[in-house]
Amino acid sequence: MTDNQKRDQFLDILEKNIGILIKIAGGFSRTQEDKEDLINDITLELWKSFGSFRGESKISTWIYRVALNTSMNYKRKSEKGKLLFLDDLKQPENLSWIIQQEDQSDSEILYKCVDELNDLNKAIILLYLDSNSHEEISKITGISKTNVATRIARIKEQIRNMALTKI
Amino acid sequence: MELTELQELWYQYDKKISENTRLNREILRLMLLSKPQRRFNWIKIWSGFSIFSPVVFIIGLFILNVQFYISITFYIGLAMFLPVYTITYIWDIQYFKLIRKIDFSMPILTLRKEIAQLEKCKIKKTRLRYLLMPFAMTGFILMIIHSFKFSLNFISLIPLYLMILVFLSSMYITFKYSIYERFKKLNKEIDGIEKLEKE
Repeated sequence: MTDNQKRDQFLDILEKNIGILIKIAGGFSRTQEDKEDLINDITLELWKSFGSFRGESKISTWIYRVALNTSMNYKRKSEKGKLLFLDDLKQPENLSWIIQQEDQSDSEILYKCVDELNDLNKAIILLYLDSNSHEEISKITGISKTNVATRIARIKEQIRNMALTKI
Repeated sequence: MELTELQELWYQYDKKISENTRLNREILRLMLLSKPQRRFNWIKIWSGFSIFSPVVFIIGLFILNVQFYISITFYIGLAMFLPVYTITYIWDIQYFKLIRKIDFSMPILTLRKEIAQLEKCKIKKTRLRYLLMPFAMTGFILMIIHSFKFSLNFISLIPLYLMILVFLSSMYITFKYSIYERFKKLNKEIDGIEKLEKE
């Protein structure tokens, strides 16, 4: 496969799954600028690992893993004393390659509900909301299926309580 | 708010995204072509550099034209310097190997564990380096000095005092800022992850 073909194949995959990137990045960033920067980071991480993707898992599983891992590390980047994995010298970039007419208010309510969950629970609930099965969530996170079910039940309760106090 | 309501909102949001989002493939293509090269990963580069540090060290010795005087002092110095250098080099290799294992397409928990192990390794490496560095430095000085003359003249000892001062302050700052706390926290994190994996 030539470089161009590889790039085209990647762009096709990205085009079909761009929603995953937008939704995950939204859950792990506070500002629009952060979100755009994070989508760029995820895209580049996906591109970097595309060559080593052997198709052993579903494409969506691979995308979710890279997106969530990048998002969790992106958060780490701004926390003091943690490891920096991504280039911390780069400037925030404009997300000019996504043409989107998004109403911010819709997503704000959604993300407000999951914002106070810890990273792992946030990842689980975002995957759950995106209609992933318990088995799929287990494959993406590395947590057993039983544990996923238990956690989802706990998160439901947490969200209900949070909603009572916040929304 | 119930999770079902949240789910409903989510479906609507998802629908909106798929209806309203288009990619500008040309701009994205250009980004993929240009950005990865610019996105240096300094930790990887630095750890890669430390693998070649013996070569850099030897080249440095040639450039600075460092003269060794083969005498008893030289062998004592060598006996102090070489083991320390070898131990720290082995740790550098370990660290480099761990860094190479980091892959963002791993399951979340596995990656978290790898990152925690990496941080732990970094802390161990730093601690070891600080503890052994005085021996390596003394060893190196013994290897290059011609004869060992000891003078108690304050002025001539200033460079030595300064070296000790810089070293001690750096050691104090590194250890004071919770190196042990971080270590304990990391161990706890790794235990937690292992427990989660087994459950």
